Amino acid sequence: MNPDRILAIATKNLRQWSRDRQALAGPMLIPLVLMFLCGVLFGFGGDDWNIGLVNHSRGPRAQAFEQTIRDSRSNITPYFKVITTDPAEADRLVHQGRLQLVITIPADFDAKIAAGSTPTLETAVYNINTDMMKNARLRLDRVIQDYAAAHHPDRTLITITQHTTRTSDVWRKTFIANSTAILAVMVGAALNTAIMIAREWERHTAKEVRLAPRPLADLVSGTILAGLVAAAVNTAVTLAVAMLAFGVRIPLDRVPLLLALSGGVALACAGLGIAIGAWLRDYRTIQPLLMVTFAGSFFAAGGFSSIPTLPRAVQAFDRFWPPAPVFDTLQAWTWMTDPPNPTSFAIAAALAGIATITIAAFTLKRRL
Amino acid sequence: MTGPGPILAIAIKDWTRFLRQPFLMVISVVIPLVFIFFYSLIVPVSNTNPIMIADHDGGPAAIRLTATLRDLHSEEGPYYDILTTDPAHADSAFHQRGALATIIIPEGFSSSVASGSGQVDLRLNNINSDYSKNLRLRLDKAVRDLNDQIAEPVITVHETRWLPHDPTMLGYISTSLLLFGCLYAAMVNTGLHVASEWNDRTVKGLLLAPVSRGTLVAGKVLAGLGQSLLSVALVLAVLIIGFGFTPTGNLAAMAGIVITTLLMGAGIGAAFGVASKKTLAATSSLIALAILFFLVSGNEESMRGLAWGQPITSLWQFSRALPTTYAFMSARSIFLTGDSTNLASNLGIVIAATVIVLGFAAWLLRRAYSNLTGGQ
Repeated sequence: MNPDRILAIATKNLRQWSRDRQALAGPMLIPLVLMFLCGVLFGFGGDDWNIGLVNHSRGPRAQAFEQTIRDSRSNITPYFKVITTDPAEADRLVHQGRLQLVITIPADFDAKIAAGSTPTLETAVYNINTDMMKNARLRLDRVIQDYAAAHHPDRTLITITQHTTRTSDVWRKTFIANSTAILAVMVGAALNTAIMIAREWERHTAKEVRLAPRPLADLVSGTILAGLVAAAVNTAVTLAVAMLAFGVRIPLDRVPLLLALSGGVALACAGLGIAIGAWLRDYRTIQPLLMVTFAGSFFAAGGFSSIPTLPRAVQAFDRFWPPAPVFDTLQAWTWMTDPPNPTSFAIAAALAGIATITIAAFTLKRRL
Repeated sequence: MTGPGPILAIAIKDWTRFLRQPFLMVISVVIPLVFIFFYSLIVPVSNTNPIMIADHDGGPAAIRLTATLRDLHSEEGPYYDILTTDPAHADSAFHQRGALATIIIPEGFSSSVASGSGQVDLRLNNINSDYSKNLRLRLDKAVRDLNDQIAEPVITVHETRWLPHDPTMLGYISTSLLLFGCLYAAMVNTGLHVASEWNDRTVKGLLLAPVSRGTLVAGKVLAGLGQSLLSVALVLAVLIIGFGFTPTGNLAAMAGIVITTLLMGAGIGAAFGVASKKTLAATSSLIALAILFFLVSGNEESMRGLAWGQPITSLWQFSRALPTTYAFMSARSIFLTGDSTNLASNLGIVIAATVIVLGFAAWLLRRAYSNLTGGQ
């Protein structure tokens, strides 16, 4: 291997990359789109749920129940945000789907309790799907349970205590944004190197590469080097947005390890990118295929929600799907108070790097 | 030359190219299926959460609590998938991070319940607030149900629903995925066919052909739509066979919304193709746009109830400004809910937007074909 030639190839690739707006923006597109859409759609508001709350009773028990609704909260936000207390407006909003739950405390709430019977709340729901309804109904169950525990301990035979490893939950938007930064490491390394290799065929320069004396090792090394630099830029931009807009804060003492692990992952992905680039040679195929596969992996392999939270069948799939341990380990090392030992992951990433670079060299050799 | 002959000739030329170039097949058919496959994997997450229970008691109240947890369900399915009740297994999985949560039923739980002071402990590795919230609220529900069974309910709830049954998330998402398939296929296929003429430097030949500009536009749209039918048929087959999607409603209405969405997608694709004149840029942008439509337009009805603060309100207003949103809403009315209150107005918006976007794409194409750069 010749360091001058490696550097020359890397410089050439980086120059082409920096001048090609499509290649520059493409690998950042999917992480940033997923960060903004999923972060805002699925996790920006914390745990609060918009409701209408109508209290027809002036009695102290009804007031106490209303207060329980207003005070109920997770360890990051309240569970409810009361949008209106006006019956007509609440009715209009729930019929339009602007509210998915309206709770009405009946006028006889106190009287029924005083008489020893059970009062009945009236609720109206805009039941567009089971997910929305689960969120609305289960919060109300929580309030009833809390109210019962506080005011009717004789009927609350079981209560719940909760212990968490962190003081407060990691907001979902933050978890998702960090996942997209991890995604940027993988997409950036794989896609940039794949396009750099495919460009040799697209721009009809593969012939010059073929005519160069023993080009393989230098070409692979130079492309990997350029791909890693490009991926680092893509990841830095994504991470900066994640930190500024979505509250991602990586503990400083974990940064060196996370960088080392991410470097191993990027190396493996860069090797994969070269192999795919040499195999398909058409960046119109490569770009969408890699973008969609990685975007899909974000959802199915622990980017959107941690692997232990996924259904059994998906967990079984993730045992064999390489992006899964990447999301799992890097998320764990970002957020967990006591993360798992990273040694086996680091060894696996190194072996994957060796394997993909070997495959890349073999594929490229055949093409050249 | 006018009439259907040249239009068909352009379409057949593009279809032949499609069949001869594997990358077009990959982009058109394989990629939407890959996305649908991955996305569908996480649909059950919204309903069913895996959980481990460490039952250190084993008494009647503990057994009853476990049974209550097992029985909790929505119309979609069970709320909990109980992986184990073995305390050693559950404790070890939690400490080794194989499980992010464990419900601990302590020793002596049954006797404590009998004396009115039972406590169950939820241990959470709380690295994602959504998961923490879901598990806690489900446990609250189970405990409330069990308290109601053993003692007497403190409060009951009478619910008035918009629809008699909650549509399942799988049905809700399947409708969105079908529309995503339509938009993706029409946008990407038509966009690629248009941009390829510049990319392959064949646009000059087309321009010099003795046909009107309208014929060229119609030929490109026909080519994109014909190709899209294959991928939409495959997407539909996967949704029906793989996910048990059972669309309801009038067959003509179902076909109508699919065809209108395809036409709208073809218009968007043609506009992007001619604006970029580069296949890579057109493909990347259109794929990202299709995913954006799926997430933003496909979730308008969910966002509507959440949009009472920023930035979700802006996103919801953005979704209301997108004509594709009304296609998703129309499709959901036809395929899923059967509620036709706003169907006519939604369909009207979709049809009007389709005409406008096709007209705009045609104008752009006519303009671009008439103003070739020197390099072409």
